[in-house]
Amino acid sequence: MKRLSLFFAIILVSSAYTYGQNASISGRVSTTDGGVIPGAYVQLNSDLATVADEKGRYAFNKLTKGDFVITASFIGYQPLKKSVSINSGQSLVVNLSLDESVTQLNEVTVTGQSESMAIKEGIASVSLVEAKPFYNRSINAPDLLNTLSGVQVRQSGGVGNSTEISIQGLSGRQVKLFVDGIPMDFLLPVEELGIGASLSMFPVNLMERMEVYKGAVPVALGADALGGAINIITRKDFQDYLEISTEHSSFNTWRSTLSTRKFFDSGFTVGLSAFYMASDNNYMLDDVKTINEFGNPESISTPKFHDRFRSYMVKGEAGVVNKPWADQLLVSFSHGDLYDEIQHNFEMRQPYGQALNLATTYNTSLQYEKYDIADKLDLNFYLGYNRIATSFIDTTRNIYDWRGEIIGQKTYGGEITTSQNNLNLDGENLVGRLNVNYKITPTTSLIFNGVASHFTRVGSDPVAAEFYGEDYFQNPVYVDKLVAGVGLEKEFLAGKIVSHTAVKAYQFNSEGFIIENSESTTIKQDQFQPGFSQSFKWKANKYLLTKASYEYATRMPDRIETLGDFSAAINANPGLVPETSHNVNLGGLYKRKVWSIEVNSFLRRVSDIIILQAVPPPVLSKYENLLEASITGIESEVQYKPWHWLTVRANATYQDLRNRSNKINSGVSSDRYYGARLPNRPHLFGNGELQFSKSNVLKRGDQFQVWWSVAYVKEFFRYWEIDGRKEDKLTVPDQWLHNAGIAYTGWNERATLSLESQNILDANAYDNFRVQKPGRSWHVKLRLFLTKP
Amino acid sequence: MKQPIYYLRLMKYISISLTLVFAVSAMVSCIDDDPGIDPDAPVIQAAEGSSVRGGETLEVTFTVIAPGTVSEVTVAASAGTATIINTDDIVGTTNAEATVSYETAADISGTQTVTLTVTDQQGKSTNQAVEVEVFAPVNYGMALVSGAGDVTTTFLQGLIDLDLNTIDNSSSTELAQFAAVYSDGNALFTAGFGAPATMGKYVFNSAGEAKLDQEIIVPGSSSFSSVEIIDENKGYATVGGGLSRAVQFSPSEMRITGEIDLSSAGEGLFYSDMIVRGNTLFIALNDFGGSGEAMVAVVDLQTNTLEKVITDTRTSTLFGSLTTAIMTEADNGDIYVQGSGLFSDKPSGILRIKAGETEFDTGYFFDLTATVGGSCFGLYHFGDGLTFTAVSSNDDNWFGFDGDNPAFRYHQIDLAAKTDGGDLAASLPNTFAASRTMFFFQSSDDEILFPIAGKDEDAIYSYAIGSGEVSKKITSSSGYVSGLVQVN
Repeated sequence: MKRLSLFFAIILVSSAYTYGQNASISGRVSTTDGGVIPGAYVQLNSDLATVADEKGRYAFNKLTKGDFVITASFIGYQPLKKSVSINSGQSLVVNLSLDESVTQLNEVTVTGQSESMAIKEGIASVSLVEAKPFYNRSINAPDLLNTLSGVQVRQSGGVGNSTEISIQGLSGRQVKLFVDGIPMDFLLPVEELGIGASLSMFPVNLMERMEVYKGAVPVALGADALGGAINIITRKDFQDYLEISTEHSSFNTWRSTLSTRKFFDSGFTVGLSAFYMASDNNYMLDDVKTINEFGNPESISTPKFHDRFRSYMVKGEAGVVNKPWADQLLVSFSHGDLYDEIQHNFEMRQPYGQALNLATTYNTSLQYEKYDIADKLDLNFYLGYNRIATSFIDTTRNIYDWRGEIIGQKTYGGEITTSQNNLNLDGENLVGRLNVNYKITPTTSLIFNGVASHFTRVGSDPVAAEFYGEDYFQNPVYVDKLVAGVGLEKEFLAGKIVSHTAVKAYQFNSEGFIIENSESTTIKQDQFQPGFSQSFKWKANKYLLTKASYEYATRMPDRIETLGDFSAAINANPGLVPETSHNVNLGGLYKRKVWSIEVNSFLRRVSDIIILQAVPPPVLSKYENLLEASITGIESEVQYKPWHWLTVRANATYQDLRNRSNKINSGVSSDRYYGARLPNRPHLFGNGELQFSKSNVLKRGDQFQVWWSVAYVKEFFRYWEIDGRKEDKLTVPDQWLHNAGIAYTGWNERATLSLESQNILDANAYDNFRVQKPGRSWHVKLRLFLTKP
Repeated sequence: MKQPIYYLRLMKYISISLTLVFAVSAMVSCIDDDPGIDPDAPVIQAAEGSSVRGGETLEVTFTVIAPGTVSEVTVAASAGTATIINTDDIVGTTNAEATVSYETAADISGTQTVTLTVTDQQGKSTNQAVEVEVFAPVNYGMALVSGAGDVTTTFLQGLIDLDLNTIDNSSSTELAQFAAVYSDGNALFTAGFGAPATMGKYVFNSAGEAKLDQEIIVPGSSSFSSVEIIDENKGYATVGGGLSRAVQFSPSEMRITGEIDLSSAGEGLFYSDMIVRGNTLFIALNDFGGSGEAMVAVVDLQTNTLEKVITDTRTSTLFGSLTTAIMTEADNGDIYVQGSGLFSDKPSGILRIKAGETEFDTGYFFDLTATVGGSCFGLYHFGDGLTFTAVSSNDDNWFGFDGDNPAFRYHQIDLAAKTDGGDLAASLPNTFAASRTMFFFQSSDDEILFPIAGKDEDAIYSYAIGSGEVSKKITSSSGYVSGLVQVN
């Protein structure tokens, strides 16, 4: 009886409640331009939530009358809140239109702008290049970077060859690369194989954009970047899609990419991306020397040999998005592999026929992101475990000439090293990143970013051990790094003026070994260095934006510099101090409807530059703190789009790098070089592009593109300009390189076929002294992009 | 169908065009017919392309044809003195060879002209000029290493004499790599550091500029490690980096003429220095302390074969560099070999191979560490107890990583007495001997020159053989002097 009474009581209460819950709210979540957002997360007050269906529709039924706050959010868009009141029995339609979100790097909200434009108009001095317009083209990541003002990419050959990136005059290790905010050297063999090979593992079709920070590096990029930072944002399409591209070009070069993602109504998402790249790099070399029977050189032209490059990577990702407890929680796994034949020495004087580098990477990561996890608090967390295995193989005694023919044999040693090497290094990285953004007031934000990493490496080289009598590579190496920063951003005058103040701290602990008298001794290093930056942005009016920044930047000595690299005959130097630089940037952007002009000036004063003091092997060389330098420069970019079918873009950079070392820091006995222009660095360069685009050419909805671009680098000296007879100084000559291409997109915008020629005039191309780059090449590319209509 | 008027106009244009063509042809024809040329006037012919070194004499030959019989022949030069040697053989003939002796001015170089003028008995006169390239009278070749930081390289220049107070590199030829310099008495030779081993032969042009004439390259090797040029017909060079080889070459023809296989001497060896005595080549072997002993390869130059490797455990690590000698031969034929003792527990010291022998002299050892007070680098002997080396006061900075504190001081030592003469001069600054430069060059019977690569100054110093006085001779404002050779 008691149970029966209870049953009826429940029925009665339920009925009454149900009677009161006859109201509903429904609607559609869309973008500002009307596109639907399937999978958008819609929350009603704090207790009900749903996910928009494939047509962007959502509904909350059985509501009681009252006041509600509806919040809609989706990755890549700004969350939207709306307050509504509803009466009993009422069916209310509330459509929600979301703006594209701005980046978290600068924390500036610019309503109605694309994310890229918001970054561009944020407080950071930044250039960025969207990858999407280049998806149809045959372009690689270094080429894409080279289109930006202030950025110079110098390559020593074709695909995968060594590469150096310079941002406003600072270069090499002074420039840090990131992938989605994570330092690239945690993910890829940057220190072992260099930027060139690592960048080659990022095809443009798998990127969203590249951000180049030239002034104060944002707190969110937690690394000791002395001269700017490059952040590669990988592709994050928030829709179901499948894209396949494949390209074939001269020198038997293949590039293929696959990228797909699927969102489920439950919020679960899976993604897969992969690429394969291979090239023989067998372009024609001019004026290389073969040696006759008397030892005299004879000049020949011959195709390059033993320069094949191959890499692939597969990345899988799964997780949930748009949950009440997470905007996204993703787990990813990737595996990459690289094969890189080494063709010649630094100045392309000695060919190699068998030496090669190998690398294999395994990366796993967990990424969590929640906007408004608590009141006014956003949280972003990354945890990654990465394994990077590299091999350096130099075991043949054969001697090759430039035609690839064996012309002799050494009695000992490899092609490159005295010992011969079969070196295998196994590095492991554990890295964590925490990014917190707290909105103290509507105009004041506090940002914290911390990146902690633990690196360990051990290796073996039985071949070298046989030569040296001991396998030094078995000695383990540890490096712990902690980079933390706090930034305070404040808006004034209704957001017309924005100030960003940041302090950073760098902690570096390492343990390795030093070789003395053929014996290894353990060494440790413990360093701390502070950093500081102050940036201002002034939006004078709707056309003019100006920015100024100062940063006291630091670069800690890296693992090879401080702990040495025995395979390269470099000994440890635990006494190195960090490189530091005073970086000042001042610039402005004036933007009208059809044209814009941007001008930036920069000043750098760099101290304690770390330089390799080379001595003849097998005596070990060593890195030392040597030069001081100043850099002043100006760069400008103009864009003009008078009609929708025509785009013109041009930029130019002038940078003046001067030695500011006194004789003690220069390794010389006088102040002769004080104030002299630093050698072997370009000081004037630029590029431009003209693009025509025409729709509805053959069929309605198709598109036809034609483009032509040119890159220029003014001649620069190999050695110091003030030395020697002027008439016949060694130089890297003037370069004018032209590219041109056409592309046709059809089949309802799903397929694109492009044809491109790079270095179409077949000009001699050099970035480094004597090291020839490819001549004219032809590229054909097919891209298929499928998504839900 | 074309109208007749069309053809008339066409004919008109063709006529005008033809007229113009004829007119122009006639004008050109008139220009070619120079009425001033007399077919009976003397004719002079001469070969072009002569060259001579400034201050020297060159014979230039002219062929003279004078139908009207030569009555007078004269010669003039734009600079220097030109004299007709055989005037008597020419005057009164209709066909002769005129030989002109052209003595160039020592202080003027460049393209000069020698002009021969012939007048016949009818008073008809003809002259003919011959261009002669006069090379600057370069007597010395000097190498400077210029640059700062990690961007440094070698600059070559020719010098007429060494009576200079200062030197710079403003007229120097920039090389693409660091190189040591050598000479066969006529030209400048470079051995560059870096793969592949490359030797360059440089000659000095009329402006005194060093110009590359020819190269010898040994593919696969990392560098030439030592060079010994005997004369213009024969030289030897060892190559490092796994080839275990010395090459014999002809400096004048700049070609390899033979090879010596050194592989049986051992692997991983650096060939620090060479010295030739009679038909034997001695090669210092550096194993960087691995064996803890001094090693010298003995090569029979009659067969170009490695005869043996001699060793001695009293010192070790025969460390040398491209620019610096660690072996020297006394007047009596004794060879002295310096060991650095680096990378081992052995002292720095000097061993001897007596004249006529090919083994280390077990009765001789000069312990430099004990006597001079440190490990030593470089060994130069000029007879009569006059021997120089450089002693390190800080072996940690042997390779100059600490650019603020050069650690080497020059000492005079006595090989026979095995004594240290002390600092070459107390006033001499320290020098980066092993990491930058060290050499001793006898420029005359009275003087020996040597470089200082110092903390505050780079200079060439002079040692007066008679008095032992040391003085600064040439200050370099463009880097340290890495080599000085005589090229004439």
